[in-house]
Amino acid sequence: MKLGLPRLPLLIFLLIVCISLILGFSIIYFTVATNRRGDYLSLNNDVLSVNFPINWFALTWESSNRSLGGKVFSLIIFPPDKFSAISIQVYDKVATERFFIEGKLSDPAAIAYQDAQRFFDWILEKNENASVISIVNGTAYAGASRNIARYSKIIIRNGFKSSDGKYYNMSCIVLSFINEDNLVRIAFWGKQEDYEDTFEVFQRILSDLVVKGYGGK
Amino acid sequence: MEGSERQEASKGDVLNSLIGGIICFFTMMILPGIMDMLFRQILVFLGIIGVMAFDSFRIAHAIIFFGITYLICGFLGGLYTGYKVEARLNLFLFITASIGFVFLVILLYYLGHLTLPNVYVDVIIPALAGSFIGVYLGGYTIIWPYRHEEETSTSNINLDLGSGKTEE
Repeated sequence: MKLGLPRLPLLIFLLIVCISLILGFSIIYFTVATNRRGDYLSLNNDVLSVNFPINWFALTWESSNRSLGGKVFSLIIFPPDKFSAISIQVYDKVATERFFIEGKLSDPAAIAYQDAQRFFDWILEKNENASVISIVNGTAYAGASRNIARYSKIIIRNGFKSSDGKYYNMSCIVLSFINEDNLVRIAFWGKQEDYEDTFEVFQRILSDLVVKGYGGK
Repeated sequence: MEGSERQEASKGDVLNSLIGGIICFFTMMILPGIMDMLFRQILVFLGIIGVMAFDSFRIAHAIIFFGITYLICGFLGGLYTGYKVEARLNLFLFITASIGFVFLVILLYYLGHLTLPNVYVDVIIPALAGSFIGVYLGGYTIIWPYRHEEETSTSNINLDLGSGKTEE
């Protein structure tokens, strides 16, 4: 009786699939092991150094304006089980100058207030019943080097509609500051309950944040 | 007659390799989305979804998706082509792989995804490698037993001219 020989191409196929899985997950494992700081991951690149929870979604991207020049580095992080998110944007020198000129703005306080207004307008587009409960402006320390940031905090009534049709208040705090010719804009927003639950995480991210010179050298 | 039969066989083979390429392309439209969702769920389950922010994750993602998505898509297309095509398999497998990959690139172009950052690492290179390697592996998987039998039967034929019998 002739033994059925395995088909070699099929074996090679299965081997390649297994190798790709093992190699890919090994890279992921080493990335996590190298950058883990307890329950946080430390993201360290040419633009910034930031710690964020390991079980939060995190996305980074860099956008550039080819015709006018200037680059913006963006990071957004959000928990998988709550409706809140934190975004950080760092502008290089050229993008910073363009931002101020095009927006006809003079200082970070104006940026923070404008961002808060823009956030409310965005909520209003989705829900006409939304209204502002309060807007608070102020200054706060941001980052490991304790930059003085201007912030605007806005609370919006009925800003969020859940899948079951209920309305919830929304909170949003927007900060902006200048670090070595780089504009930094930080926003933290969410359904009020989730915002309060994750505020401690936001404070930790803000206090550990290090913004490096971006695009200046 | 023989010539026209050969022509028809060729036309049939071209058609079958086109169909194989379309199978490859359609599976490349569907499978990546499903696998991406599963992959993220696994990362969420493991509690390490934050790793997506790192550049090394992009490389790991490309390697994993080459294996569990694009290689499988190419393999399925190659299985069909290998099953249907009778001659010049290498050529028709190449057509199958090319069609699968080129159609995908055209789709990405029309969706505007070719301008996305890192699309070459995330999609183009894994899809190119996966479609070509997968198609050839799929095609040869089908014909492998017959190639092996051809080789062994050819080497074992022993003609006994005296008795008029042939042994194999």
